[in-house]
Amino acid sequence: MEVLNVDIKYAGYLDRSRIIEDIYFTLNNGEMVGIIGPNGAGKSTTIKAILGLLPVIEGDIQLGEQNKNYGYVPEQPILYNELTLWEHLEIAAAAFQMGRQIFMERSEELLKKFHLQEVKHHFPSNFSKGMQQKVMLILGFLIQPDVYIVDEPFIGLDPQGTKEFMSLLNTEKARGVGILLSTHQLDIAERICDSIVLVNNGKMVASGNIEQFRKYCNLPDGSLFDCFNLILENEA
Amino acid sequence: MITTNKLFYRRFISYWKFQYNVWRTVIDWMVAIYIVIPFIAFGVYQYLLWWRNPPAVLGLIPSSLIMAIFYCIAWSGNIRIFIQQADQLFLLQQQSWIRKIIKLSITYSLIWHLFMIGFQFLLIGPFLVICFNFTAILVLKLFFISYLLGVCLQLIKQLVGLRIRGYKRSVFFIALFICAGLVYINNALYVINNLILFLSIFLLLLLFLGLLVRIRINIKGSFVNDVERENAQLLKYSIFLFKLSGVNIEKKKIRRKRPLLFYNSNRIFKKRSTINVLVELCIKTVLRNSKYLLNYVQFMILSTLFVGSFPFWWRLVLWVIFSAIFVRFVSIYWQAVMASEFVSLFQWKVEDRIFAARKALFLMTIPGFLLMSFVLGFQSFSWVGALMALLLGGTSIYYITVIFSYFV
Repeated sequence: MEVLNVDIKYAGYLDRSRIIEDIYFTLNNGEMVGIIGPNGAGKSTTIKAILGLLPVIEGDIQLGEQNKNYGYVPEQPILYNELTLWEHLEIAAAAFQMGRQIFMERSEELLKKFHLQEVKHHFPSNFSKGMQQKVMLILGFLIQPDVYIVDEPFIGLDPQGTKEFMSLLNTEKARGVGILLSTHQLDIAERICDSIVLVNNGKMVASGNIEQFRKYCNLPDGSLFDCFNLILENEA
Repeated sequence: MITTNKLFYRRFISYWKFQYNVWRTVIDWMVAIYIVIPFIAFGVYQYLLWWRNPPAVLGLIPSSLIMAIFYCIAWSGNIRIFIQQADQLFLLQQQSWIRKIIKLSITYSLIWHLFMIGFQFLLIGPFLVICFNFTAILVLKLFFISYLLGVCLQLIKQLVGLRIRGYKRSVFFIALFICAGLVYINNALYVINNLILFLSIFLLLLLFLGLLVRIRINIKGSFVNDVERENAQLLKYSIFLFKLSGVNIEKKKIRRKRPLLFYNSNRIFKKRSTINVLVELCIKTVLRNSKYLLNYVQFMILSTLFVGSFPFWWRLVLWVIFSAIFVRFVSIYWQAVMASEFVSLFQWKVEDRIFAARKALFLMTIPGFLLMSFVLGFQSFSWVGALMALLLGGTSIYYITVIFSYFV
């Protein structure tokens, strides 16, 4: 079943309305789609378009059924200066009217998984970048939405954190959640994504699973990294 | 070849160019011609009229209130140090350059403050001379005492700020504000009317100023704080204009690892409804943000002093007006909380926002306004007045917050 259908003819800002063009893909239940591309390709802009943050958008974004909620994990942590980590979780729980019991169980479990139990009453605005990133991931996972939209989650994460995050993603996939992931980490994307969307210069240049990429690039044993570079070289 | 003087001059010009461009974005030629210039022309005309015939009602203002205004003028402002982030690359190694820039910056600040206080004294001049019968000499004496006190306070604030952080700094500033204020308000008029006392205090303040400047120039380890302060000063007006147009600017980070209040993220309300969590968020924000807390306390003290300085019937009318003003003041905190990036990540039901606003505004206004009411009620009718004021104050705040909750 489709949880996200993206069909963007063009999108952008008032002074530059066509920052991204011709981007279309779908995300199904229990599927993970990775958006990859070089710096400035339009990955984050695509995510912003999906979230409805761009003033100009021509096309259609369908987020599954009417009441589907999504969890957004931004690239840059968005934190509240005057609240402790635990209080951030309380706000998220209140916004989604989560039951107290469920909230306590999930939050303790997530804090344990990401090794942040010791700092749960600390101000996350003073955390390192990686720890702040973990806070955003915990906030995203806490509400257990139907769709995850995750923008560059691996930046700043230590290897343990990366492992925990990938394990959680797999658990959520097994739950039937759809995950849209934007990343530079091609080796990880190759391992965990069911399909890949390659964006360059604001346009979608290729999409499919790793096998389709290899066939397209005529590299039967090639990695996603090899295919990525070959496609971009041909584009240039 | 660049010298320290040229470097300072370049930074000085760059700062004023930046501020000019900031205001230029708001005041284009049309706004200037149709609003600003006519407003200034009217202001000048009105001011000249005041010299001939000031409004009689201003004669009713008690002298202590006028002294309080002068004190606030003296307290405001800060000593600029034109240091920049990039100085850590090369300039910081040249201690003589840094010291020279600090000296020039302090000199600039002292001259600037002289002009600013002078200008403000000039504005209030008609009331001093005509309503309160000050001679020109008395005005000058008051000006110099206020100026010297002001720059000394600013240097003390800066020096203390370099060594103490967090709540201890806030407590010190509040204590300094109150103590210096009480001394000034109660004694300034007496001092300026006594020549020997005036000259003694003048010389004392001048020597003290010299000592403070010397300490400031020689203090070590101030670079990071100076840069932070300079950036805040540079962006002061742009942040103000952004806020006016509804754009939220990122706030300063709290340096503590854990909060002092609600150390273990303790709950204020046992029941964890959406409304209670939002109210708790607002209350904790104000209590944990030293600037918000200081503003709240200052507002409460100044409002009490202001209203209390009037005769009974005026006091009663102003007390009623200030009940609404207080709620409006507190609503600014609520709006800042709800407009923050993190809170905006979530969707909140309209009814939850309204009821949470009502509860938050009520709970946050009550402590300050009831204290104010108690003082004013006691001043008017002793203990009976204080109790009546508490009851009436609480009730009026309740109904005002119900109305305000629909508009914030």
